Amino acid sequence: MKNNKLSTKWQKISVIVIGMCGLATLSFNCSPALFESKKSGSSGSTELFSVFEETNAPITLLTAEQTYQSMLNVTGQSAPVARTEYVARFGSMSTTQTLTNMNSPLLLASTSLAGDICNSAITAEMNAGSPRRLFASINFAAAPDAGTFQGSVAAMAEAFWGRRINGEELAHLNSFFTDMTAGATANAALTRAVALGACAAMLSSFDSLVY
Amino acid sequence: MGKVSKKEMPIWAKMGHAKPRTRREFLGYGMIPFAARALVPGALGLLTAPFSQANAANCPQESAGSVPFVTLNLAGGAGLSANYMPLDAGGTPLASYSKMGNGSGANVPARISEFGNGNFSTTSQFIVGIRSQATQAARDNTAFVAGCVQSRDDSAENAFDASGMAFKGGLVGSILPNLGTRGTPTGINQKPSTLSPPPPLVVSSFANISNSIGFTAALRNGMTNDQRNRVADLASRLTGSQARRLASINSAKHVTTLVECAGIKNTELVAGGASAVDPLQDPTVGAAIGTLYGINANTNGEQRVFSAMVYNALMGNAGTINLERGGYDYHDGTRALGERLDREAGEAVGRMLQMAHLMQKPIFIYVTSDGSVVSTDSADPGSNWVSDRGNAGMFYLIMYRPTGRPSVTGPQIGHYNMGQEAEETTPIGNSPETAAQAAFANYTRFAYGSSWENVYRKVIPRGGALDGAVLESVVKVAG
Repeated sequence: MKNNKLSTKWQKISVIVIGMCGLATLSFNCSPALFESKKSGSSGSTELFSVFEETNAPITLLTAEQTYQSMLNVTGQSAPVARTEYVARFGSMSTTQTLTNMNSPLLLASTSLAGDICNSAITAEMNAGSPRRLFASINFAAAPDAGTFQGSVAAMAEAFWGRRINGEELAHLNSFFTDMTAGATANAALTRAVALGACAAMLSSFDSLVY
Repeated sequence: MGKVSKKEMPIWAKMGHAKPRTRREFLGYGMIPFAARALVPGALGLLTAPFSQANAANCPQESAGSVPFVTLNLAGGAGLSANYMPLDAGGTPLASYSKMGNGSGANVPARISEFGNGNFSTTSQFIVGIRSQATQAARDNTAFVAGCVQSRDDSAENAFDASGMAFKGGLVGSILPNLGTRGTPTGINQKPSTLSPPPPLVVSSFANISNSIGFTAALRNGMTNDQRNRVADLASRLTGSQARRLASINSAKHVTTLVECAGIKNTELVAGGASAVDPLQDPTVGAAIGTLYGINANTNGEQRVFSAMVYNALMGNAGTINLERGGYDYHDGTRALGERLDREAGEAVGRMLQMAHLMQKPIFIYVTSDGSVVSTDSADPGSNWVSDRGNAGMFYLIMYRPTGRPSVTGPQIGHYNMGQEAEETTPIGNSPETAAQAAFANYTRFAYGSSWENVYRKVIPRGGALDGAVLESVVKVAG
């Protein structure tokens, strides 16, 4: 009798839970009107649709100049370093804030520019007496060290993205460290290359290029 | 009803509420949020993960064997209708071409045939330019169709650009995006017709192309190839991971795929090198292209840019190519400037045809302008260009196929009237936007053969300006 009662109770609970889950799933993000796409401004009478219309998502792309200035600021550069690289890459970067402008050449250009700026940042922090912010714990005269690398990427995440690094990102960066150091001669040059690569990739990742 | 113990009470009763009946009531009692928090995230993750994480297999693939779509825009209002002499509604020559610089009556220059089309003026410098660059063998495998359409003079508002349609139809570059030569959404001084294209890479020098597929500066100088590849891979992974949050936003979810795929592509590009995009480094045709364009590795300027852009289109590396030449607002009271610029436009087209012939690849060339010119109204040919005249507008479609000349059912789309104007009442006569659709329809017929209408309908659903018999009437390419 008790078993039957329990069984009936659990059946009811199961029906309610499954029903609620279904309802919650079906109604998930049930207010798309808040984020509906804005039609592009073409005056053409036969504008049927556009797959590359602007979005009014709460994220927008930095323009080329904004990207450059942002990279300088978050790496603590007081002078407009990497100007030559910026000018060379300008044509591949965006002149508008349209998020869909984020194409393959733009990302590649951003990483290349970030590499030049990070290189300057490393050089600046290596100078004796200079404040060390992004690479505080890294000994650039020694072989790469996983512990100090993690400390550095945590600092860069705070500086570049304005937040703590998450687990997935940290896993990617740790994997990068392992790949870079595996089988390579462990020396100061490798330490700099690892720091440079991590900095360039983080400084040109999605969250560094949007706001 | 017997007393119900607290242990047996439903949740809503324990919370002091009536039995919930609506979704709002469930939400109000906190049940759905609790259930969703407890159970949905994991399940939802299982459902969405396969769609939110792009991989090379579900990124847009280049369409192997696609025919390049190259637009040459002659900015300013070229006298295209002075080079190809348009016909009337009956397919016969007009009585007079006096406003189009070719005189009237018996003075009208004789017509010459090129590309199997016999309506070019003997004085056409555009044809002179083509013949100076493209061999007879290349021209023998080329067809030509003119389009009669009015357009606005000296304006960026004409919707002649068809690159968005070509992209949507499947023309995607393997390692480069659409390419253009001007910093506009289309890469030329024309508005998009029907669909906006993805943003083109604006090319003002060959370095813009070569740099776009690799790292420069510190990452090039301070790292080995393997290290650079790992940086590209890391950047791609971080970006993909971060962009994935957009997947939950309806209006931006397609950005997730675009961004993730861009990162994946970059990893491949960095591992490659500039040789993949430099025509001069092509072991088979590099030397011939250098001679054709008169360029070497140290050359800068239009020939280096145009040759690289067209080469990458022919190789399938890039999507649509939008080239622009300026200065075609050439009504300076003389004929000489216009003749020179027309000849240079012909040379540009001739080089494209010849490169396609060298590489034994098909190519579709779409020549556009904004408006046109008017000559001193004279019975004698060769009168000077004196002002703008968009009523006499025109576009060209030029198609090369290595296996033989494409067949066409007629020399032109639409027609001119006795007022020496593109007739407005034809399907394309007063609409550059519809004219671009007609150009795209001919491209699909040329590129996709018998399945062309499926591709066309994928891009332009029924109900547009060109449907049924009207669509058939503007498709001149027959095979």
